Amino acid sequence: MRITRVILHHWKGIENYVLEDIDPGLNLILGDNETGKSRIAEAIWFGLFESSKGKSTHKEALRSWEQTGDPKVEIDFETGGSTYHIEKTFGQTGHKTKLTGPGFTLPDDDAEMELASLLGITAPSSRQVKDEELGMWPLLWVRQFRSGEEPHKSLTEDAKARLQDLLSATVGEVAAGRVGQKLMEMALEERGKYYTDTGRSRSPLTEADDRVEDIEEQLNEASNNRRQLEQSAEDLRRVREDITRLDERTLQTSSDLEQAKKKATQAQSLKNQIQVQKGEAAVVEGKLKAVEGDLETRREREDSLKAVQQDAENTRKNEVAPKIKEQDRLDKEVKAAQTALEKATDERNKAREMARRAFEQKKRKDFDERIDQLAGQLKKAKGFQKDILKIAGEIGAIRVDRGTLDTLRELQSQLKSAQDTLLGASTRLRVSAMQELKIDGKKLGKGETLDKVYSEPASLIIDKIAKLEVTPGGENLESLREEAVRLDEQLKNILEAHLLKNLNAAEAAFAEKDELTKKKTILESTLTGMCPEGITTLETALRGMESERKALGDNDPDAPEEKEITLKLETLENAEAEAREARDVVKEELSRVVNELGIFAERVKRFEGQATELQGLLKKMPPAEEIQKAEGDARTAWETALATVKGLEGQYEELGGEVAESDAERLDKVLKGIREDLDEMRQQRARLDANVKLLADKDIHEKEQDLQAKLVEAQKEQGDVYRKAAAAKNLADTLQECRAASQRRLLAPATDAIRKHLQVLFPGIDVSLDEELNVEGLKTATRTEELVDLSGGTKEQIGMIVRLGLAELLAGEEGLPMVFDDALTNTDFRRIEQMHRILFKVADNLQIFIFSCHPEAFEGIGAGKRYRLPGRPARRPIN
Amino acid sequence: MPKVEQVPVGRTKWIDREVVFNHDEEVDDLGEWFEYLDEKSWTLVQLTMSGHLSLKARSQLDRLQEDNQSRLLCLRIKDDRVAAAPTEEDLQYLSLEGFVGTAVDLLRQDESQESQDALRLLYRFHREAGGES
Repeated sequence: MRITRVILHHWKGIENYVLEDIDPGLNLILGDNETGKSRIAEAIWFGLFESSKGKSTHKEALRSWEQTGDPKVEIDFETGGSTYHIEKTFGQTGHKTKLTGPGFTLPDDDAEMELASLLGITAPSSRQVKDEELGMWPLLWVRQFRSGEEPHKSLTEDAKARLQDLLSATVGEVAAGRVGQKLMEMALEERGKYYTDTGRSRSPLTEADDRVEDIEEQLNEASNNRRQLEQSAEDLRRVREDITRLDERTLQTSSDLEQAKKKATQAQSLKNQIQVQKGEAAVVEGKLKAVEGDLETRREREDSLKAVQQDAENTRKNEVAPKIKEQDRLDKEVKAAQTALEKATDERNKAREMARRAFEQKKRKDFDERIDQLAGQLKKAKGFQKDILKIAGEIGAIRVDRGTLDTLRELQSQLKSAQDTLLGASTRLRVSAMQELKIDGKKLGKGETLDKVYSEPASLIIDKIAKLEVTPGGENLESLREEAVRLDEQLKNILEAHLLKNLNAAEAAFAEKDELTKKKTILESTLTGMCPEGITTLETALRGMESERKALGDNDPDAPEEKEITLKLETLENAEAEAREARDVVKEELSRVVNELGIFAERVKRFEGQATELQGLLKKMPPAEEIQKAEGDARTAWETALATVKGLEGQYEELGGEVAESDAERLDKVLKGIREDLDEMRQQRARLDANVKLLADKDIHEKEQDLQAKLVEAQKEQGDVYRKAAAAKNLADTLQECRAASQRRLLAPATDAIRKHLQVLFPGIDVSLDEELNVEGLKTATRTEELVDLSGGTKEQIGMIVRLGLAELLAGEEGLPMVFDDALTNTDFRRIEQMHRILFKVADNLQIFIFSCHPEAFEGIGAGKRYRLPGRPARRPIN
Repeated sequence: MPKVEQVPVGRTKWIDREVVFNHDEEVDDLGEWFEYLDEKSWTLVQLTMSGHLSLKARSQLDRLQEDNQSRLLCLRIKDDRVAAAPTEEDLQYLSLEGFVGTAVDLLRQDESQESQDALRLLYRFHREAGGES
């Protein structure tokens, strides 16, 4: 459907106005406030949707004081390939509707009915039309001040149904419809009986659980009581048996105790007798052991005496006698060795005296040689000393030193430099004779040349032909010459002072002086090496040595050769050492034998002492026969005492021995323990009796059985409730999952249609629609932001985009008009420019009417038609 | 021989009844039995049921139980041995459009008791919602 023309008459102050040549796409109606934009939009609304019948307040409000006729609106539009003209007049008189279509004209109600049919709305009545009667149109019509509303609030049930039918047809999936919604509600309600939204159990389940738990607790208590009763009864039976058994044990133990006491008395008496007899036997045994000891001691001493006497004899014979012989032999050997040693010592002493004489003679000879050597050295040193003094004199005669030579060299150099300078300032003259001639009277042949240098003015006469005046240098020539003369005189003065002819002579003298100095140094060095401490010291040393030599006396002409006598002395000393060693060996052997002999003699003496001691002891003891008789008597008495003790011990053992004594004590304690146990058991029996009686009066078994039955019933009810709850939950969950999946598929075309526009303003963001096509908010891949939380401007933009997207779905290829009265008032210019692109694009399918008082905001929208309202409502005459 | 005769001595009446369902019509019979009980507010009934029923009949039985719970002094029911299997007629009745139809298919494919109970519940809701049978 597209509107092609709108005409207003007498409309709320607008006398006449025509919107002509309306663009099938984008139309912009601009004007300041109060210029009639909203009144034009309202007129179109009334022309399409309100009935001309009736005089309701909102229709009365269409009139104004100034107007000359009834409010009237005419609209031309196209739909379904046909052109229609609707005109409606609102007022007290003459109100009517007329619809002209292809080949027909309908009046009043018929016109309203047909128009409603064409627009897909409920036929209007005389009252003000409501949104829910207008199908999809509230979605397409954004009235003033309502651009920020959520778009789904303008979505009527009819519009939703149409959209869902369209979506179902697009997706190829049938929606569940009202039946499905109803079933879903019932399933959710049923699940809600059992579970909260967060999945927690509600009262039917918790009460069933509580009841089961309560009965279980009661049953547990009852069972505990029953078990307690059974345990008490069992304990009572056992206690009673124990008391009977303990009574019997008391009687038996009392009897046993009496008998044990008698036996204990008898055993004690026997024990005392045994102790007495054992004492007597011990005394006899002591005597026996003493006699046996005496006998043994005597025998041992006798044996020891024999052994000691034998040892003494053996030692004398086998040890002492051989050692005495050996001692005699060694004494002789020691004497022989001593004699040999003394002889060797004498020989060696003689050789040593001869050696001493040889050494002294050699010493004298050595002194003589050294004195000769020292005297020669002294003579040589004195010669060197004399040479040194001579060279020193020669050196002293040469007066040129290094400083003088350097001065002379410097002056010679300066002089040469001054002379060269003077020469440079001279004039060189060359005369080449072309024929024979005379110069200053001297002949110069043809072809010969004469070279002259003039350092001072001169003249030259060439034959009688010419006189040449030569003036060399210039003004400085004189001073240069004076400098050269001064230097020359200074040089000569120094040379004369040192008795030298020239610099070369000075150089030669200095070289000679240097050579002499070196020679003197060498001589001094040699002299120092020869006698470092000086010639005087050398003379003193010579005199000392001559004195010592004198003390050595005269030469000994009979003294042997030192080497020969030294060799002989060494041989004799070795012989003496060998003799001494031989003597010492024999002497040591003798000492060892003497020592051993002493040991053996001491041993014999010790054996003899022991024998004397043993003989004395044996004399003090009784004879052996007497001791043997006493030992036989003591043994008989001891055996008799032992037999008596054994007899008494046999009687003691028959009575039970130690056990008989302790039995009485033990049984006494046993009896006491039994009586204590018995008292405890009797008290326990009294307590258990009371407990059993108390519990038996409570009908424990009946109560437990009753509770068991109740528990079975409660568990059955619990199971039934849980089963119902599980069924309700399963059904609701399944329906929700299926509905969500279905909704996702069904809503896909709608969200796609919206998304393509949304991306222009909000790249990467999608709109979230619920199953009822309500806008929930914006969502990204990770989060969703609810619409209510968005800013006013964003809500306005989202609302317009959603309306455009859904309108495109509803329009299909036919197209639909959309009206935005004062839209995007909260949107900034950047977003408005982005909205321009969207509106321009959707204008391919939708006919857009934008009413705005901000022309600058929509300059770039690219409207197909622009209407600018004048400052006052337009009044164009109708032809 | 002494003759023993049953003489009521108390006002409350205890009834223990077992029912085996082989046909859906037997639910109607049970309904009639409940109808003809005397002094319902003084009667205690323990009803043990077993057998096979269609969803339609099972739904009818559920309603029958719920109605008589409040009318009798006590109604103790053991119906866990009553199997409810959807018949062709039931399935035809549940061949709903859209996501409900998808949910019915899912529940039918799951043989667990939970899903079968859910399917039965859906059947009952559909009837209560006025769905055509």
